[in-house]
Amino acid sequence: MTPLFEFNRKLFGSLYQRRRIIWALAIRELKVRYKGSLLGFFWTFMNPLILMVIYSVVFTSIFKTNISHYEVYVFSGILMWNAISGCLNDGAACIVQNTALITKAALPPEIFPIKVVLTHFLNYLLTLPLLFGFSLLRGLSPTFYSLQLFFLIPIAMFFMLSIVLGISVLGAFYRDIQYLVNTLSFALFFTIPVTYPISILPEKLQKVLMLSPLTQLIQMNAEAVFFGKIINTGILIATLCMTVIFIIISLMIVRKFHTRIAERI
Amino acid sequence: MINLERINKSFDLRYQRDDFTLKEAFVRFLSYSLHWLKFIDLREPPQYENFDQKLEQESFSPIINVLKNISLTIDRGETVAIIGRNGCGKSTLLKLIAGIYFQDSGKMEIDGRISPLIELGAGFHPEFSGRENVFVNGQILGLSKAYLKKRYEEIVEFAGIEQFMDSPVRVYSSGMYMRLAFSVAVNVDPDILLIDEILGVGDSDFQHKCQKKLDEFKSEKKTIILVTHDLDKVRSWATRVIYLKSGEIVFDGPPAEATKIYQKDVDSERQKDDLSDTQIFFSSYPELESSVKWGKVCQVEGQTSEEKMCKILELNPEYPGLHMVFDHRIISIGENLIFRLLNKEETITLFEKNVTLRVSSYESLSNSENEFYKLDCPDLSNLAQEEYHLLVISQTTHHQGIIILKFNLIIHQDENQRGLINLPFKIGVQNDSPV
Repeated sequence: MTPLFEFNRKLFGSLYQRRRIIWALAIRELKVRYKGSLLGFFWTFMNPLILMVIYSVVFTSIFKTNISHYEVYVFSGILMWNAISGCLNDGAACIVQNTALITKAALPPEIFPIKVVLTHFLNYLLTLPLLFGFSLLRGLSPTFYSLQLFFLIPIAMFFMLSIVLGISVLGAFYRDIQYLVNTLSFALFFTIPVTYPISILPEKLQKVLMLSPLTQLIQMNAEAVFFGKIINTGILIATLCMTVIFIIISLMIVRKFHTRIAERI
Repeated sequence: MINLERINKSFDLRYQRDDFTLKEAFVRFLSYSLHWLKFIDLREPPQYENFDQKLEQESFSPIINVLKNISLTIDRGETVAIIGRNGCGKSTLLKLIAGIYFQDSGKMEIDGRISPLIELGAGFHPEFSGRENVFVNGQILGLSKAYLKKRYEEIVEFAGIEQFMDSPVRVYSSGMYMRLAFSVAVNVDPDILLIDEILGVGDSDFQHKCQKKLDEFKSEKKTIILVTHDLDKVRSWATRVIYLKSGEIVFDGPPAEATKIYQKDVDSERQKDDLSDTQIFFSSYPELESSVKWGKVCQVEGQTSEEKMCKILELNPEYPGLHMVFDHRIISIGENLIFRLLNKEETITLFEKNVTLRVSSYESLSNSENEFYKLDCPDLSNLAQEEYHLLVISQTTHHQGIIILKFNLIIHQDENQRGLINLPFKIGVQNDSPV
C-alpha cells in the first residue's frame, strides 16, 4: 500500500485539480432541488417551517416550555440539523449513486462526499436569511454574534466531511450502511438540543451529551444565532480535536478501500 | 508515453454483487470471534448466504484473472487499437490506464493528461437542459467554464440540435443525446485520448464529422487508444493494433496483420461453436464394433471423446427393419431426418424417406441415465441380397444435408438369424473416407 502521506498528497492533489467539478456538481444538486416547481425554493423551507410549528405547539402548550422565542430557537436548530442529517444520509449513498461518473467519467469517488457536504451547507446558507427574517418577525433582532457563523460553518463542514468521507466509502462496500446511518441519525436527533435547550437537562446528562460533536455543533450554532454570545472556546476546541481524529480515521478507510471502489459499485 | 510492466488484474466475484452487506460481514465477524473465544463451535466456517455454497457446488473459482502479465509501451502520437472478443479484458485495460481501476501487481507509468471517453454523456442529468448539461459535462471532462463559453456555439453547431438546447435532455432522442455528448467530448485537449466503442454515433453525416475530428487529434500527434470491434476502422485508421485474448496479448503490431489473425481466430471459434452445437463432426466416420448382430447395443467408436459420446446405436430384433437409438446429445440435428438408401456404388438412390426421431426410454439401455431418441427406419425386408449404402441426413436449417450416419449394409441369407428377425441380413460398417 502507498504510504499514508504519499497517498494523501496524491488524493488531495487530484481533488484540488477537480475543485471546479465539485463546485459545478454541488450547484447542480441545489438546482435540482429548486427545479420543477415555481415554489421549488419555498418547498425546502416548508419542511423546517412545519416542524418548527409542530415543536412549538407541542413544547409550549403541552410541556409548558417557557423559554422566550422558543420557536426561533427550534427553527435555528432544525435548519442546522437538516444540514447535518442531510450530510449523513446522502453521504452514505453518494458514491453508489454516482457509479456512472466514477466508472465512466473517471472521477475520483472521494469528490462525492465533498459535494454532499458542500451542497447541504450551501443550502444552510441559503436558508439563513429566512431564519433572520423569521426572528425579526418574532421581535428578536439578530446580533453581531451571528457573524461567528463565518468560521463556525467551515468548521461544521470540515467536521461533517471527516465523517461523511469514511461513511461514503464504507457505504460503497456495504450497502446496508445507508439504512444504518438513516436510523442512527434519527436516533441522534433526540440526543441533540434542537427541541430543547441543553440547559434544561441535569448537569451530568449535559456533560455526557456534550461529548457528542453533533451536540457541540448544534450548541455552537445556537450560541451564535440565538443566544447571541461568544462561542464557548472549550467546545470549539473539542470539536476541532474530534474533526482531526475523524479525518484521520476516514483517510485510513479511504486509503484501504480506494483502489477497489470502482470495481465494487 | 504510456508504459505498462507485467500488469495483472483480477476481479473477485464474491464482491461483485448487490447483497454484500454489513449484516453478513458482521455475522461472519461475530461467529468467528465467538468461535475463537470458544463460546460456540463452528463445525464449518460460516458462509456468506448462498453465494459461497453456490461457488462450491459449481466449483468455479471466484477469482477471475482479467489481465495476465501485460507489458506494453505506447509512444506519443501512436494510434493504438485494442481488439479482442467480448470479455477479453479490453475495457479493463482501458480503465486501468484511465485510473478507474488499479492493478493488482505490476508497474504503470503514464506521462501526460488523459481524457477517457468511455461512455458519452455519463455526466448528463436528465432534468437539465442541453445547455446546462454542456457546461457541467464539459467540466467533468476537465474543460474550464470560460473555455466552454467560448466554444459553446461551436459545440451546438457540431451537434446540430440548436433548437433543443433549452429542453431537458430527457426529452432528447438517443441519437440527439449521443451527438450532444460527443460534441462536448471532442473539445477535450488531452495528451492521451482513451476511446471505448463510442464511435458509431448518429447518421453517416455526423459520423463523417466525428472522423474528421479524430483525424485532427491524430495529426496533432496525440496518443489515441481505441477499443473497438470495427475492423474496417482499425485497418484504415490505427497505426498499431493490440490483440487481446483472454487477458493476454496475442499480437501487437501492424493493423493488417493483426486483423487477419483476429479474423481467422474468430472464424475458427465460430466454426467450433457451430460444431459444439451439433456434436456430429467426424474426422472419419465412426466405426462399429466388428460383426454387429441384431439386438446388441454398441457404442460407436469415435476418435475423440466428443465423437464417442455422440451416439449409441442399437439394432433391435423386436421390429422389422432398422432401429436406431441416439444419445440425446445429438438432438440439435433436429427431429426430422432423411433416411436414404443407395446402391453399393453410391450412384443410384434406391429410396428416400422422411423419418422422425422420437424420445424413447429404452429398456436395453436402462442402466444409463440419458434420454434416448429412437429412429424408426423403414422396413427393408424386400431388399435383395446385396451390398448397400445407408445414410441418415439432417434437415435443420443449420445442418442442412449433413450426413449423420453412413453405413455399408450387407444383406445376406443367414439360417441362424432368420428366426430372430424377419429380415435375414446383418450389418457391417466400414471405415469411410473423411467428410
